[in-house]
Amino acid sequence: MRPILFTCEEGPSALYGILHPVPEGGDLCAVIMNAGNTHRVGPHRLGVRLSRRLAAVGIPSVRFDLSGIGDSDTRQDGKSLRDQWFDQCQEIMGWLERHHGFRRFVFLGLCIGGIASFVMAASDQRVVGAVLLNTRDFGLEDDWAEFAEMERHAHFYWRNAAFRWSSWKRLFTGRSSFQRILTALRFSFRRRIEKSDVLDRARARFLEQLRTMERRGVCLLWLYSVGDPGRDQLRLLLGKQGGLGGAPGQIVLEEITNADHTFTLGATQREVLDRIVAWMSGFEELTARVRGGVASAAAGRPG
Amino acid sequence: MKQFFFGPSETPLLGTLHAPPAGSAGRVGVLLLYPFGNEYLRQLRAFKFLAEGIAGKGFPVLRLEVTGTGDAGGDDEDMGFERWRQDVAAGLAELQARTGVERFVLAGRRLGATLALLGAEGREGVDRLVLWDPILHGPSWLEQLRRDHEEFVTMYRGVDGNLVMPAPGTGPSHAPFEALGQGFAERLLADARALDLRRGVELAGSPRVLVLDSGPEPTLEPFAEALRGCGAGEVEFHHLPDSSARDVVNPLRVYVPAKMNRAIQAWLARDREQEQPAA
Repeated sequence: MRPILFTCEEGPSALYGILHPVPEGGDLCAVIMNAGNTHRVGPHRLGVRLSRRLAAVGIPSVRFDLSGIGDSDTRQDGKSLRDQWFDQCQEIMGWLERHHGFRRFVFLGLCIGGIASFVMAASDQRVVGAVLLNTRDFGLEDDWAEFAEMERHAHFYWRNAAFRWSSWKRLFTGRSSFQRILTALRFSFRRRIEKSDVLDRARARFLEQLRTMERRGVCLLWLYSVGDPGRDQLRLLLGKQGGLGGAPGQIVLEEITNADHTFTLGATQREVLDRIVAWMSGFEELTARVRGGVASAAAGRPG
Repeated sequence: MKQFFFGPSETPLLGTLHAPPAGSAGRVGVLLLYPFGNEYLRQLRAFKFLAEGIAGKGFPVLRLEVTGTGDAGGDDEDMGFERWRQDVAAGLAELQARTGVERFVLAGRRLGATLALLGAEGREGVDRLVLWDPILHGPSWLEQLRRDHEEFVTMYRGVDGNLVMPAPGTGPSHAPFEALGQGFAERLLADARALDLRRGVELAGSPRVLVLDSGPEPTLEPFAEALRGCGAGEVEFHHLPDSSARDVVNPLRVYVPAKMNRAIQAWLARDREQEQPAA
């Protein structure tokens, strides 16, 4: 079926998007978010390819531009970006329900699109799943992002760069930033002697969102390129507990080797698409099993 | 702004039409052609602003996504210069059918400028051409892409450890050549290898041409000179260096070259003032 271009005029400014329908769809629709602030086609046209692959296995999907991105006008309503994303995702879901009968949604996003997907999955009952690609920050407080970045740099300089000849060479030939190194090392020392509650607050909020999704039976697929900063953040947030929890198969974390943040290499593009499509193909079965287990647990029966 | 599909049902083209303010539409319409690959992604927003600006000067504007690009139909294996030349012709016909314009401006950046030039070759009815950093020599383009890709892979390997240059034939569609996430299937690769427009193409109807060069050094002046011998009317050349145009590392870094957008709008508006609005 030919995709349908649409203009969603449910809010103060129009949102432009494209729906990839399927001949006999149910009430489930995938919502593919903007990656960073780039147009809905996605880096390397990944969004387009993903929509086509999903349609081929019978899953409709929608891609739209948030306000200020791609074809959609900038919305100047004084709200924070996070509140704007939330409003606009709700507008799109409302529009999809009214015009096409979709009532359940799986959000998919890369980078910032992953943050929006995580936030929506944690906060809207209609969102029953999410695919989070190289996602970080997780909608937490601003000081968390800064803390995590410094932690990552410090970790890198102490554990990796200090033992690499190439790193010392970069330093002595002026290709590394002294300022950045000093800032990271200073952060590392201060963290050892001063108590900071940034991590504790972020961890508590993150786990609270995760447990909320777990209780609602939301299924999550986390995909990370090996070495992506988001993976380090997740490791930090999970701490010694390590695992993501959930019913078997409910929350899955996988890593992709030989991949950068946006999956630039063709082989990794294919791999990431294959993994998402495989997970989405089994989604109805997975979500039924997980929700059955959640309902049983709530009723005090074995799942 | 209105978006629509048109053209072949299997591989439809995508058009985004910007109408001028009511009562100000002239007889000339503008077909805007995007750059390619990563450059498309980073500059789509700039093209939206450019189209809005031009429409504000009284020109109906159609932004065109050609086969295999953006949200248009097709994939890597459908792309090629002959196909794209037909897409440009279809875009002009669609612009005319939807707005009633009688004459055209073909404008594009990088590969879009190349397609604008190819689309104008021997065609009557093209009043003006805006050629913004056109790709004129395919082998040089491929070589630059190869170097950029290598630089990207080397940079990532240095920061995050394990990125390894892919073997040929492992592109998104198992393409024989890939660079910065874009696969080149056999046909496009062959077309690119054969592309050489450094001496211009034959232009009909003496269109006026604006050649914009945003490279660090002016390299397109000889090309602008060559166009004068190819049937072009007045040819203007501007060198406006813009270092932010080139970012091989981060495709998520959107970029809006306001200086160039203003230069194009001013150039088009200069002639528009002498035209009468359509009846």
